[in-house]
Amino acid sequence: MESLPDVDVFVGNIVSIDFAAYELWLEQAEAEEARDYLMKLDKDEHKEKEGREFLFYSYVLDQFRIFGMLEPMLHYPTMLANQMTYQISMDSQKLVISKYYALDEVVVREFLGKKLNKSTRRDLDEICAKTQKKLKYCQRQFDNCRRIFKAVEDMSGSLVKNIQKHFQLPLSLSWDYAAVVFLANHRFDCSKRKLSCLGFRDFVECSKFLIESWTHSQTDCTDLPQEIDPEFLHDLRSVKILVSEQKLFDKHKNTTVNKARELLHLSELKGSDELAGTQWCEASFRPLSRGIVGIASCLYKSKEIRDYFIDIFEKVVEPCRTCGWDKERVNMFLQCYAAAAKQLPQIEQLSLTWDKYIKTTTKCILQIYKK
Amino acid sequence: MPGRLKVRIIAGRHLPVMDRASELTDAFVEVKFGSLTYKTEVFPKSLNPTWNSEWFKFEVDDEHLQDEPLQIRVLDHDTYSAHDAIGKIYIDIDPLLDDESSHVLCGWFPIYDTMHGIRGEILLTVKLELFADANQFKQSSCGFKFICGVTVPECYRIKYIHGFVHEFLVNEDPEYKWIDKLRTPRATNEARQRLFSKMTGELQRRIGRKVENMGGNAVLGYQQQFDIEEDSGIVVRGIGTAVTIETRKKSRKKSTIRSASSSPDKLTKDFPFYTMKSFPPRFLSRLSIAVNAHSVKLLEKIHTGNSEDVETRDSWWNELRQEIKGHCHALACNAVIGYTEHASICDDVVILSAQGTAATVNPLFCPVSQDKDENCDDHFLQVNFSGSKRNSTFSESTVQSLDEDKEDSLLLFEVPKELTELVCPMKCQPSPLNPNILVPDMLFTTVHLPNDVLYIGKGTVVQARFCRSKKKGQGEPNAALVSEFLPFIEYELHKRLYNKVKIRGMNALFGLESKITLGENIVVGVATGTAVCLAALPNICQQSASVESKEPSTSSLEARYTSFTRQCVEVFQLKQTTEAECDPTSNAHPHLSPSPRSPLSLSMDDKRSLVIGIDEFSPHDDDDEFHDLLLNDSLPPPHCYISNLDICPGLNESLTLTQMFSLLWRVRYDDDANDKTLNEGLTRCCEQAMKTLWFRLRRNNPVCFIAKARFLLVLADDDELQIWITGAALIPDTKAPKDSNKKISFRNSAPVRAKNGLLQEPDLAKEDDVESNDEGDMLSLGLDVRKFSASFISRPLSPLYRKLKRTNTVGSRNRYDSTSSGASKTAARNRHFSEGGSSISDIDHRDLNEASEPVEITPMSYMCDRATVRHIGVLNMFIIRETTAVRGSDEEIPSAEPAHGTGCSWFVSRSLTETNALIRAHVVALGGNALTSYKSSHCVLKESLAKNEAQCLIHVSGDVVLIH
Repeated sequence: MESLPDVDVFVGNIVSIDFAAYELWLEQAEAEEARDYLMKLDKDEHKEKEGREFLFYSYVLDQFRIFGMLEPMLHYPTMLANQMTYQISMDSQKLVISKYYALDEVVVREFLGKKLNKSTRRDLDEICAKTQKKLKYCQRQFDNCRRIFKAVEDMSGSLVKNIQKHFQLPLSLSWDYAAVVFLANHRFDCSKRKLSCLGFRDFVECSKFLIESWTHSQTDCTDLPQEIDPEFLHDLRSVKILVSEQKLFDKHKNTTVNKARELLHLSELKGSDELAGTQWCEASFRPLSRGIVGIASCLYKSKEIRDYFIDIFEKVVEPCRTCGWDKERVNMFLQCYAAAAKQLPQIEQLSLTWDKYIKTTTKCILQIYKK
Repeated sequence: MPGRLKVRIIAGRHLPVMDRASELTDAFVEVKFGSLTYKTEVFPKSLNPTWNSEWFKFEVDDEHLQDEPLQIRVLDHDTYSAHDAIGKIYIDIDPLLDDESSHVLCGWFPIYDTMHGIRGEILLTVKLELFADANQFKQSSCGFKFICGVTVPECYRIKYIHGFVHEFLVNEDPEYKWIDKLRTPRATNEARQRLFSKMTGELQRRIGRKVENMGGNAVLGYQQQFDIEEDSGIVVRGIGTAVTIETRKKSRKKSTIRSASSSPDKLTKDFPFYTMKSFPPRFLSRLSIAVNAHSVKLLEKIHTGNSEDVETRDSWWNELRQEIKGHCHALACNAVIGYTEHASICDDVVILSAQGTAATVNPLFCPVSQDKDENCDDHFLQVNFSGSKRNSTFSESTVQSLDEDKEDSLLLFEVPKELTELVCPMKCQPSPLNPNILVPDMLFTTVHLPNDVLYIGKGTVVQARFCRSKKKGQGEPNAALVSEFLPFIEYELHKRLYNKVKIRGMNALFGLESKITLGENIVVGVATGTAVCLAALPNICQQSASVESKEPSTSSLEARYTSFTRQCVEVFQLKQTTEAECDPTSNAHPHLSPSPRSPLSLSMDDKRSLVIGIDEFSPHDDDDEFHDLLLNDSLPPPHCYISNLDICPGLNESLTLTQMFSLLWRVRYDDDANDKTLNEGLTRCCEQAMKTLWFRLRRNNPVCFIAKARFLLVLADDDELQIWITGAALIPDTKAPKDSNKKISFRNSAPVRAKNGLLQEPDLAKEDDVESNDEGDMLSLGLDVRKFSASFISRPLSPLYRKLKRTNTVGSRNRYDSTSSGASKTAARNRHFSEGGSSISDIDHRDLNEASEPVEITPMSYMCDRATVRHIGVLNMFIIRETTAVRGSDEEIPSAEPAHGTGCSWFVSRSLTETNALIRAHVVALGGNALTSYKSSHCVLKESLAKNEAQCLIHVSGDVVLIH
């Protein structure tokens, strides 16, 4: 008689999930790999050596079978909660879902802002070569994003809440997906070489700022939660005068420098040597102001929105970096710059729009500003 | 009692995509009862349709009510071609006929397709209105309780035990009709499921009639078997014990009237057989040994309506029962208890087996003095309910009653004087507790451990297996060959069991179940039981203890035996009595422990006494394999115990059910292997399967116990052996509750029970004000989770109606979506999310709450740490699952197939999972929350690699109950 069974199945009334095995499965580990890994973890001395391999193998297969059966339901997590085929405890359900949707930041970073379509999916093999992950694993990451993207695409109401509700995800993870969806929806260009220093988290944080202030996503009664407020973008065109009118430009510059001086005085900021006084501020004002205003005035073109990150990077972050500014200084400059502009009578009527733009942009710049 | 059956189809969810283009489904539902069919409207383009149909009414006489299943079929509407079937639901409405029931059934049912498994769910309500009608010529038997459990649920009390009922039906099997060659596998499977469902109903109706004639009101220990005789047709057999039961609450008022009316002279029946395994106190007066009988028959084709077939089979079983009865009389007993029947079929040969335990029973056990019985009965309940606590119960009771119990329990095993002189296989010795009473040296019985019997240490499952290869053959000569084999197999099994029990230092075997399975080229016998060490019987381990003190054995074989026994004595704590502390036996009767003078100690030849069993059965020179076989049995892992009874004997701590499990293990064997290799293989496989099982269970809980383990051996093909193991995994009840909901409910109810002895009455009374409360309030208050669960369970209707209202609004929105947007693509994309809006989230919320109270399934006849409040009805389902694409189907899970497998593990996994899901859905819809006495019989996996096909048949049964 054969010593190995060709069918070996264990089924219980309650589905019990071994999360160690589940994680291995999510990483697309082969059953043999998972067996070896779990065997190493297990420190039960009572078991004899021989036969142990088999026991673990059959155990892993049983677990993998459960996961395989659950997977279609994980695509619609609300279904998992009210289906009747598998009896799983609430806690396990939550954990199973959130682990299934856990984002691999390295992998997802690679397709951030790209169209979540078949052709991007086809290119995943490049990503998997680059990240040293299994293709199927990358595909699952991609599919999760695409599934959520498709599901919430036409939904009204808050983007994050929609994701949280329909995919039963924890809030922080919902925010991550909201960012992915938002970036993909507007096709923000995140893959320029210059931006490669930015990680997934940076984009998530920036997207969060943008979603919170530039879209109506926070209010529940909106039909297009992902759309960037068109009125706002239109109004933003008028800030061009900040650079186009020389008089205004000078006034703005002076106010900014004065404000900076006051602040410096108050805080007695160190680094008095070459950056002493407000020399630094005056010197960099022109390129920076041109950059900031330039980005703002073009945002109404959807193509420009896509370049938002690369623009703020090239036109603000890089110049500041060449000047050797630290984050604090950048922050101080932008605060002064924003406040100064608001004092100008021409901007006063735009002050809400200006605030909305400059505050969010400041947050984004600071987020991506690295030494 | 004719009645009006009303059915309403409310909604569906998670339907499969039937139209590839739109990725949607246009579903409608057909409701069929008898020959009448109703249809709902088509709900277009939705995977979550809402029909809210009218009430479909069926006016039926009660005969049909009992026989026919309600058939629900969900289809996808197709304008141009035939509608595609999505799946079916069969609902047995028998439980609604019960007087105590609310006559309503409501809930979500999985839509089951035999080719694709579960495909979505639908919500429906069934109501039954019965009209009173006292037709004395009626054929029906509504309202009789069928209980699968081999012991009475604790919410009832046995008033009177009437006796054995049996019935069977014969029919042609649709799978083997000529028309099967023409139709699709789905059509055949559905024809079969329909037929099996109908036969189940009819069988119960007929048995109900018999019970009625006997004056009973319920059937206890009801066992239903399907014998699939292939070309010869299908036989459905049912056996049980007719009893009169009453609810515990009522008994206080009514018992006197009832007991007067019962006429006790009815016992002298054709067959004094009882299918129960536990009995009320005083019913059993003497327990003799297990008896069994086999016969081999040749099958012929069944023709429907041919009464000859029925008569032949009737005579076959009657012969067998007569034989059992003969054995019983030879043992000077008046009854056979723990009686079961079994048939194993291969081609045209069938082995019929009957097994039971000869015993002397007292049919007049009924209350003589009311008060005392009340007491006793409650005691019985208590012990039965938490069997594991028995030791503590005993220590609390007074010494006097202990004495009585003890005397009783001792007499239970007495071998009557006249019997010792007969030619009888029993060896008798004086009991260690009372030298004046002769007891057998070893006791095999098919019943559960009686509650008032004293034993030492722990019990464990002992299993003997034996197989013999045989030539393939057909017809008469084949049958003759098989019948020649049987006595040998029987002998081998007995010999092995005897020795295995003995070398474990034990002296009795309970719950013995021996089955002989016939294959084309092999006959396999497996006998399983739970061995214990009874205080009343000669104690082998005490002898071994004295061996210990003597000089060590010289022979290596003896040394091995001694060390094995010693190990067992330690593992199963069999030495408790000799150390004389915690055990009440030694406390109360220290003088009864064997003195060196007693004939028991056998100090002269104690070494021989240890191996005596082996000596007498097989001479030393015989075969080493045999000894190896006995000695190589692996014991359960440390601190874990296994039993095939309702309790694990000797476990004193209270236990919690983790879950019911089933394990299928299939191995191939060589067609022409010799007996020796086959036997070795069989042993290795069973041992390995057990090891796997322990490994699985211990992954989560290193200390766990298995109760009610059942082994089923199936020979589906001429080179494969299937081992199906089911059982209940238990863990010690940790004081810190993990599942707070469940635990709280238990804790809160416990004091109630303790105070007034009435189960749950206060809670049920509170129900109404709970109803009026808003659910939300109740949840947020969270002060009485128990109340909440009670209201949910006992009134499944109200929340569902509330839900219904919501689905309504959702449904209309849904429809609006799909039609107005026009772009079906959008609708398709959102098909699983279309239930936007807060109403659905409420539903989800509700569902989550439902889920937090899992539906339990247990093979035991009670729920550990929870009380059965109500027995709702019996569930008998024959489930067929088939696939025509073992490899390459959508459902396949390639990453989880073993490298050496044939690729159908996914299929088995799904079949078993879905079976459990179907059970749970029925339990909930009937208003229950657990299935006890779960039993899966007739599990077969058939696979044809060449055709890429596989089929799985599972027959499950159990009692739908409400537990608290």
